[in-house]
Amino acid sequence: MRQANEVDVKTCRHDSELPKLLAGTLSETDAAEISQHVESCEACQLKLESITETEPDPQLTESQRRIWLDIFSEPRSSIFEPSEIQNPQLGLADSVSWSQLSAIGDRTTRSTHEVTPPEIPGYHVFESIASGGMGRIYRGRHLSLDREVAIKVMKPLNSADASSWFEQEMTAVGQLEHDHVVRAYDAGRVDSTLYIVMELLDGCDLQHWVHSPTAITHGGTESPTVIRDGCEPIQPLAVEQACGWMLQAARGLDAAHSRGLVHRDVKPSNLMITSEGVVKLLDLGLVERKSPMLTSTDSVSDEIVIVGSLDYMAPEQTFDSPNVDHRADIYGLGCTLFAILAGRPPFANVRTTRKKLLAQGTSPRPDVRTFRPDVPEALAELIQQMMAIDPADRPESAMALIEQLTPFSTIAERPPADDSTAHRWQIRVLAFSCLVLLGVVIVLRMKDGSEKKVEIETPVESIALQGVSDETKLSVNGTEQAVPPADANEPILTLDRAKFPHYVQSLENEADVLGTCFHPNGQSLVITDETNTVAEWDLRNATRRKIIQLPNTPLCVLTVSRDGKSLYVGTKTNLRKLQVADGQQQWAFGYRWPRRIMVSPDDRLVLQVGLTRLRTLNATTGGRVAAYGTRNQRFDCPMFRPDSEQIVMVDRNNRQTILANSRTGNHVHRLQLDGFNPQVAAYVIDGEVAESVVAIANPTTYAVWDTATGELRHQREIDRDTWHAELLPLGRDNLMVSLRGQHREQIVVWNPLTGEESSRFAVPPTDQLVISADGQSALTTDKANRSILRLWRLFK
Amino acid sequence: MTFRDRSSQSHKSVFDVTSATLLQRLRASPSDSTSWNRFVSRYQILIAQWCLSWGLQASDCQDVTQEVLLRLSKAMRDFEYDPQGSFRGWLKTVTHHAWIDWIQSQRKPGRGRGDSAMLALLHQVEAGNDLSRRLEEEYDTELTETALLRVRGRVQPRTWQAFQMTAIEGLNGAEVARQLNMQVAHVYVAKSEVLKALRSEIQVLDPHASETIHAASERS
Repeated sequence: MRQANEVDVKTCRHDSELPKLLAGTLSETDAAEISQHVESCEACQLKLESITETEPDPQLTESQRRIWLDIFSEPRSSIFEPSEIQNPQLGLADSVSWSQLSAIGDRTTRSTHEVTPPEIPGYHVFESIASGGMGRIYRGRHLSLDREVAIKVMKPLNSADASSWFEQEMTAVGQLEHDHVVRAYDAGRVDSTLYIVMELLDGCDLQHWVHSPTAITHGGTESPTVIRDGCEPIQPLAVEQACGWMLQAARGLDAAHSRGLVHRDVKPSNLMITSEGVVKLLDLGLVERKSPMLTSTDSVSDEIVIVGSLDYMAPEQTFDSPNVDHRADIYGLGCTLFAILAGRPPFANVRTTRKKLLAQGTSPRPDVRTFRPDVPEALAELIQQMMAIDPADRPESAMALIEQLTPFSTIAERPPADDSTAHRWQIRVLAFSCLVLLGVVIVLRMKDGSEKKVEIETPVESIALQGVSDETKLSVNGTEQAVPPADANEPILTLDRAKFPHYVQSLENEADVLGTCFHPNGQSLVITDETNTVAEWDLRNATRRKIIQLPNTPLCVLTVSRDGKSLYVGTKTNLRKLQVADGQQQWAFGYRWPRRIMVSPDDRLVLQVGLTRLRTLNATTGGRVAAYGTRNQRFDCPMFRPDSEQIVMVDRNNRQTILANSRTGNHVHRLQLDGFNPQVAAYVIDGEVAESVVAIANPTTYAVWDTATGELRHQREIDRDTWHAELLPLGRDNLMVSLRGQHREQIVVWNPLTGEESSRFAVPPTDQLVISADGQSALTTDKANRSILRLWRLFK
Repeated sequence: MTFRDRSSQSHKSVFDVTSATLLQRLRASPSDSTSWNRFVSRYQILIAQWCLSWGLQASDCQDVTQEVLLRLSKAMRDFEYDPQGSFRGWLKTVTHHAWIDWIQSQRKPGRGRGDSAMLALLHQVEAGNDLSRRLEEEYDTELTETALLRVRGRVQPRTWQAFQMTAIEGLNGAEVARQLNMQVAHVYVAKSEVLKALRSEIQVLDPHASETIHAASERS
């Protein structure tokens, strides 16, 4: 590691010719000669590196400087993808949905998310099995439970509002365990990518019983690439069968409604029928409330953009989408029942979207017996009632509907057909086939409110899920809990010391905490929260002092300098250095969305981990010192060696543990073992300078390497999943603190060289863990309620 | 160096309709409906986020967003762009005017009072400044993208790749040379070439201020 310093001071006699080489002012022969020389001259290479630094030219004005820094910030848009030429204005249709708008606001979608399977903590993600406008579905496996799952990964979007909406919805959906609702096991976000983990099922959706082409409504790709060959619908569908399925769907809806969830997009393609004949409701909680979105242009005075699946969309959804209630789902179910019986949705004959919309809102409901004379009159009337224009005329609840439907479904709850048709179900089909809820955008022109014209503009996605960058994992479902989690609704502020013997105190912040750090003096904490506030909590008297509130910049991570005077905070747009005392900004540098920030032990370097790159910056000036990483790497868990010269980190994409020089960006070792997928890595102190590095892989092994040679020292088993590991400060005898357990519910202090444990204690399921500078205390935030901070004594 | 005649600069002719930023195109031809629709698409979300960050509920946001957009579009048509002034200055004026106009409309008698507490938040002067800043940020983003695309179109693909790997991905020259099978020096030449082109492109795209600076620095 001393090499770099030696090179720094070396100069080469060709030094002065290098600027001429870059400027192209050397003769061809000279240029060729110098180029040849540079090949083997490290000093010249360093010199070239420094004169082609991407620091902004001092001649640039402030606004030009901003643009310049923006170019080198990350993550950049796909302009940097070599294969595609992009129109900066995006050649989209002129009217677009909220979700598309957000995608644009997010500077075009990031193609990296679509190409490689995402890294989702705790899961092994396999191939993509379906895709659509909103994101992709992957087959995955939960690492510790060894359970096959389907993981729906949303396209990265960008709004704190949508993100919190998503969290709320997913928390509600996750608590919903019902036979007729597709089970959501887990949801969370990695960076700005939201994901949902769901059960993987065999079967197909009810759209198979609907044949009438509804091109306008479905925009071509209602379901993504689902294998449908095995689903040969029996036509016509028996009335009892159809009613039995609707009965099951109504039970699922009843469960959802009783938790305040409205589906908003009940339609045949959102009802899955498994190979066992069980109906499951898909995509609950994924339909955003906020459509329709109002827009305006100069040529049209007022326009309303409506997003939804027109054939099954309740009329009130067109005009008053945010306020629709559970009766919109009853309408959708009525249309669905009509469609699977008749083989076509009720207004399939209405060809234009405008007319369809008007028909839904005004026309008499068609009689299903026109298409299916065998439907009993009473059932036909019930279907009409379900599809009533006025919500008040529909069955008042899913429960009421169940009562009314039961008489018509003599074979309810039984498999759809006899065993001879079993082969039809053999092909594995994804449970939640409709990744994209396709709809149409309808533009209503209203002049003085008197005239309504409706025109189709373009098919769009109807879902907008927008996430802020953060690594926060949100748990929507816990199975067996070693420690019961605090109820999300009723936070337990004070913990029982009999159950949590290491517990010291709790603090309740005004808003959910995003980043936490101990002040080096050990007497206070510095935090960032959802209100974009940086604040200091005094541990002695449990008081909170606001340091600064930054507008419009969700804060994700922060750290405090070793001298305790400054703090570094990562925001959406940059990395800032602020004074702890008054929040005054010392510098800001344009690297977007840092995922982790660390200060070197000597306080001279700041390390920030971006999406694919790791950079070290000069702590005094914010200028770049070194960078490491390529597009196909994904770094996490960085740590400085105690002498600040080296960094260790894990590369989750390539399953490597990497050591790099913190000042040159050159890598020192890439450490890899077969089948070893490192999650966390840290230096272990052995004498004055670290000699070993430990990497821990989920589920339960860890390896120790010699940092000088890169040789493996040993590999051992540990008892639980490890989520976080941090070395205790110097003088604490190689002790490492880990957050372990499936629900991150244990803190373990142990020595990775010997495997000995010094301390182990229970904590509530934990979101973040940080260690105090003196190595005596730990701070955690609860997974169930991130506004609660808890202080722990590491040792008894 | 002596004072350079401004007329020798070729900045103004560089704009053609296709490569100018959206806002510049709108300014040039305020009645182009395609540009307007794109403007709405692109800026709607910004304004909505602005509302959200000032504490409005999502549902209120939609109304406010629409109203602000309407007023913004009106202001853009009403305010002549003064070629002597900066584009940014014009954008600021237009935003300020739209915001004031919207505030005024809120004070008209007969308006419902239900959401007034929420809307009062947006009446603060900082809210107007914040809106203005957000629009300017988006304008910066447009300029950045335009600059990148223009330069990328001008250089060899390999030059771009070398630039990307060194300057954006942060790899060192030797590593890039190995991966692209180039000489190390040529990697840096490529990087330098693109950096230079980007610098001048930015100065061209954001011209008013750079002229001032040029004039100032060359006088000294």
